[in-house]
Parts: sequence; C-alpha cells; structure tokens
Amino acid sequence: MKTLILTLYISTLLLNCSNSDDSCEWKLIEPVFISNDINGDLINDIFSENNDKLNDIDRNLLIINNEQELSEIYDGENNLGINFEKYFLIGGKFQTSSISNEILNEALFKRDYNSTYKYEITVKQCSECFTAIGNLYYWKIYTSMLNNENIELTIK
Amino acid sequence: MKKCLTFLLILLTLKSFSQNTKINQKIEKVNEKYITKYNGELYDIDTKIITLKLQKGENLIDEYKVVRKNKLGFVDILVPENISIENFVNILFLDSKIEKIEYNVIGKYIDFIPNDTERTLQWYLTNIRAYQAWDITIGSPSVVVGVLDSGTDWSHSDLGLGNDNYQNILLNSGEDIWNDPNDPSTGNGIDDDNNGLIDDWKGWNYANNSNDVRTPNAHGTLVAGIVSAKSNNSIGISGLAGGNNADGVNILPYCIGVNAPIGALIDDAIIDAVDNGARVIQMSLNVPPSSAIDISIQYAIDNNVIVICASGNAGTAVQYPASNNNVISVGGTDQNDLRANFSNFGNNLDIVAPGVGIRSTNLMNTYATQDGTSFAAPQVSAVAALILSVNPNLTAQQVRNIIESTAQKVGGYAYTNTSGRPNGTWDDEMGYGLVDAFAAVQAAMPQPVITGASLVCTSPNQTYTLTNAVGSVTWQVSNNLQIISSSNTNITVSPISVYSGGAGFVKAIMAGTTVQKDVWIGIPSVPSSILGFCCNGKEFGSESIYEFTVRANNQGVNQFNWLVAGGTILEGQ
Repeated sequence: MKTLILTLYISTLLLNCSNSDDSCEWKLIEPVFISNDINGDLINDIFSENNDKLNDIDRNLLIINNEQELSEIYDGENNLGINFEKYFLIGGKFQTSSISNEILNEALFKRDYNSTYKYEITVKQCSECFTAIGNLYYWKIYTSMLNNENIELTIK
Repeated sequence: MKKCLTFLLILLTLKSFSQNTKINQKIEKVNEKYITKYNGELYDIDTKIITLKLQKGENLIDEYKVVRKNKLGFVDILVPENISIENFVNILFLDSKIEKIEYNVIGKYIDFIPNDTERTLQWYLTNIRAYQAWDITIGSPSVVVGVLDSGTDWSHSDLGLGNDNYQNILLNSGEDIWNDPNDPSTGNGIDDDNNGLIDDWKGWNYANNSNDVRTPNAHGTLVAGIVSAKSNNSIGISGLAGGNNADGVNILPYCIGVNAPIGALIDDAIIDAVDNGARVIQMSLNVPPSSAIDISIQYAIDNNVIVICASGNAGTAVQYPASNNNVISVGGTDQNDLRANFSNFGNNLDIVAPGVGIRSTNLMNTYATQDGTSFAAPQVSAVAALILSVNPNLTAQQVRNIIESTAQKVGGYAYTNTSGRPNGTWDDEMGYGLVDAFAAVQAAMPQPVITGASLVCTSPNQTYTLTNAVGSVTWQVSNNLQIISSSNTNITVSPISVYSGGAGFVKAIMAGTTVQKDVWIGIPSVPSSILGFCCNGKEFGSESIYEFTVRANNQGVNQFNWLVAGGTILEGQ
C-alpha cells in the first residue's frame, strides 16, 4: 500500500512529540449524522465529476465554513441544508492512477496535545485496473471547531 | 575604368528589369534546397526542370534539352547538370526567344481534414501525424480490433448505427442477427456459430456472461472511440481508423470486468478475439501476471495477431500484461511530447502516444476528455489497424517492426542504440519514441508497380497499368510520348511521331512516392551477336545439345524467334 502525503498542512503549534508519548495519539472525531435536513444528493453532485467548478480547482481538500466559501465550488440556488453556524463541510477530489481505485475509509483525527488535525483517506489500490487516471471525490460534515483549525490531508 | 563601371551598372539594371518582367517567383536556398513562399507556406523548387514561355513565333530551342512542350508555347526544359538553377535562369534571361520563365514548384497533397465537430479538441491527431496518414488510408473495415475493456456502448451514434446508417462495430456473421439491432435480447437464443456464446452478434460480455457489452463504465467506449469512432460523418470525434463517412476499422468489443478488469476473463476474451478474426487486440488495463494470459497472448502471436497494452499510470515500471515481451507496451505523453509524469516506463516500454487530455466517445451519446495510458494505447492499436488496412499481408512482427522503427524521436530524450532493441534508438522513458501514423502507414504500403510492354510502336497504342497506387495519381511521360488517356490505374500512350523514337519513360507520381517504367519507342536496334558455347573443346557435332544466348540491349526487345539450320529447337524464348 503506497502512501501519498499531500501538502495542505499547517500545524497550529510546532511542538515535538515522540511516538511513544500517549499524548501524541490521534483521536477520531466522529462526523455529524446525516439528517433529513441535509441535501445529500446535492452535496454528492457538488463533489463529483459533474461539477465543473470543483474540477477547475487544483486543491485536494476544501474546508467550507460558510456560504461564501461554498460559493467557490457551488453557485446553485438549492440549499445544502447545512447550518454553518454549527457545522462545517470537508470535501475534495484527488487523482489516482486508475479509475478502478476506490476510497476504503476516511476519517478526521485530532492530536490533543498540539491541536493538530488530519483528514486521513485510505485508498483501496486496485490490483486489476483499467489504466485511466481517475478522480476520487469525498465529503463529510463535522461540528464546527472553535478556531477554524487547519487540517492536514493524508491519503494512504 | 569609370566608363566600364557605369556600363556594368546599366547592364545589371537592364538585367534586373528584364528579370522582373520574365519571372514573378522569388526563390531562396535553404539547407541545400531551393524553396519559394506562396500564401504563407513554403514549397520546394524542382531543380531539374524549368518551364519557359516562348515568344510568339518561336517554337524550337535547339540549345536546350526539351522535356515537354505544348501548343500554347510552353516548354519544359532540363536544367543542365553542371550548373545551378539560379545560374541557369540568369542565362535564360538573356535569351530573347523566351518571354516568361517559371520555376517548377513542387506542390503538396492536401491533408484529409474530417468534418467531425469535436475534432479540433483532438490535439493528439497532429502530434502523431494522423492527418498525413489519412491521405493514404483512414481504415479498412476488413481489419478488426478486439477491444478488451469495460464494454463498449455500441448504441453511441459515433460508433454504432447513427443517422448515417453505418457502424464501426463488428457484426458476427456467424450469428443470426437480432430482430431489433438495438436490443441484444432479441437474438434467436441459439449459438449459431457454435463458439459457446449465444447470440454474440456484437461482441461478448464475459463479466456477466451475456451478449450485451454496454455497461455503466465509459472506459471501453472512450478507448473504442479513439480507435474507430466514425470519421468525417459531421458529428463528434474523428476515430483514427474510423473510415471516411463509411465503414472504417471494425471494433470487436468485449467486457472483461465493469469497474475493474478481471484477470480470469482476459485469456478467454483474447482467444475469442483471435478466433473471430481480430488482427489487433487492444487492452488498457493491468492485472497480476498470469500464465493463462501469457499463453493466450502467445496464441494471439502464433495466429498473427498484434497485442497492444497500456504501460500503466503509477509512474513506475511497466505493469503486466504490458510487460509481457510479446505485447507492444504503450506509455503516455503530454502536448509537449514529454513523458506524462504518471506514465510507467523502463525496460519493458516499447513506444509512447499522447495520454493527456484525450477526447473521445463517452456514454449517453456524449464525449469526454480523459488522461491516462489507457488512451495512449488505442492510438497505437489504431495505427496498427491502419498499417494492416494498406497491407493486410504483413505479419504481426512486421507490423510491430514498422511501428517501432518509424517512431518520432521527440522530447529531447537520450535515445540510444540499446541491446535487445533492434528497431532503432530507444529511451527508457519514451521507448522507441512517439508513434508516427504517417511514417508507419507509408512504410507499410506495398510498392507501386507499372506493368506493360517495354516497347512502344506507332501502332497500336500501349496501355500501362499501375498496381498498388497510393491516393490520386499524376502521370508523366517522356517528351517522345503522348498521353492518349489516363486514370488512377491506367495510362494509354503513343509515340509523338514516327521520328521521335529512342529511350522514354512512363511515370506515376503519388503522395510521397514516384514509380517509373523505362520503355523504348520505335524500332529497337537488333542485337548484333548470338553468344553460345560450342563444343566445349570438342568438335561441333559431338554434343547433342547446345545453348545460345542473345545479349539484351535494353531497347524493349525481350522475345525472339529462333531459326536453326540442320538441327531442332528444343526450347527457345
């Protein structure tokens, strides 16, 4: 399994940490349960190959905290149903070596001691692949963080 | 001295004025070639022949070697071998019998530009010199390319039946046709050709064991369109071997997995493609190595079928099955003819083709632009199909040799002579280089030949036949012959007059090639001697059989009537 680390990383605190130190452990942050209020079909469409605005952006991870940030990738009239005062949206797209690859797992983690966040995506690399460059799309909703922390994206 | 200089100046001025009235063309010498510019384009000048318009009343120029003349006063003359065309023209300026001088500009054949509406998005056609190749062929329906992929949407009007009522999808002649050509369920339910696949009229879906190769994954439709989307049909893209608004190379589609290829199905599909007449097998996929696939590839090679596969997109070593030595492995390049950063490379890379921003047919009768070596490989498969379109007699190995030996050494890479790479210089990032459709098709063409009598008499007229003609043909004959009639394949000639005998020629000029037949006009001189052995040291009469030979004199005499006295002719020709 190859590891590809994409650079969208700014740590809030530059403290050293030993792997043996318990305080270094990453803690899973659960996403928000998708309720009927949230227009999942619309968000799926925004984070898909159908969205030219998203395809024009050369970024693998987008953190959307308000309508203004949302307008960068979506200018439609329909409401996503996300209350940005309480929640924020993580999403994006990234290239893979094959259209046969797929996302196996994705999750947001926090390291308490230095308030570092990472969004980790595990890609299931195909062993039997069609050799077209593929794009994988993803999104999740989380409870808002107080300080709009920066998040590192890791793709494994 | 001053008087002399003034006189020279007047002479030069007069000469310049004279030149301006006698000739309108400007030529210049570039890299040992003479060229001229017309409408912004550069054209070569023929340095061997120049055309003159004679002054009224002048009809013969004794001092020049006349090649042709016509009744309107134009004469083609040979440029003497010991003088440059520029200096010869300077001499001609001073000849008062000449009214006009014209350089012979070597024209260009107009590249075939299909009218497909999305063609301008297919930047890769230029890089691989498709337009020039299309002057020669845009694909023959007799060539079949087996596309082993995620399936192919044959209902796409740029691949299957559209309003133009033809298709580039192979219809299995061994199967009964479906009642509704657009509904695979309307077959007769019988395995008519006894190949174990029921109603496989338009390929086979090995993934779900059905006769419908249409699946939700567009990958195979994109690949098929690059090879043979219908060309010059006023819609969509131009398939590389898609025919000229009529049947092009036929796609034999297989689904060997929808979301991903299934290795266990690939060997079966390869064997079926071979048995159903495919001359090229196209695979844009990688799977773990398999002896079953290796053996099926060998089966293809043994049956003279070319196997072409994408190198992979991991930016690492060439993946399997492209790494199989019997397979032509294809990497991807960008618009600058550089290796795409994702394109796999290394020892097993054979050739490259454009693999970034490749426009092709998509599901739902639409079009899409995609990246990957998946879309480079079908360009090479199409070139293989074009090669076989002009010369179906070539073996798989010959086709491979042509593709590799004609590749363009682009990108500034260090192509070098490499052990085990016999078809020219090679580089581990680019293989033999960028595929060149035009050079490959040119190299594959059977050589044109003019056949007909070597001797032209005053009567009857002689007809010469051109076989293996390439595109449109322009005929030329020597100045002692005249053309009675001509077509693309035949020319009928007769001597200009009974006094114009001697050596002559009939020449056919085609795109990129010229062929000539030397003839003798009039009565040839009779060979003067008969050569033969006599007696081998013994007295004549002591042997029972003697051989005699007439020495040929290159004057068209190649049949003789033999007469002997006091003996019998056993054999004579």
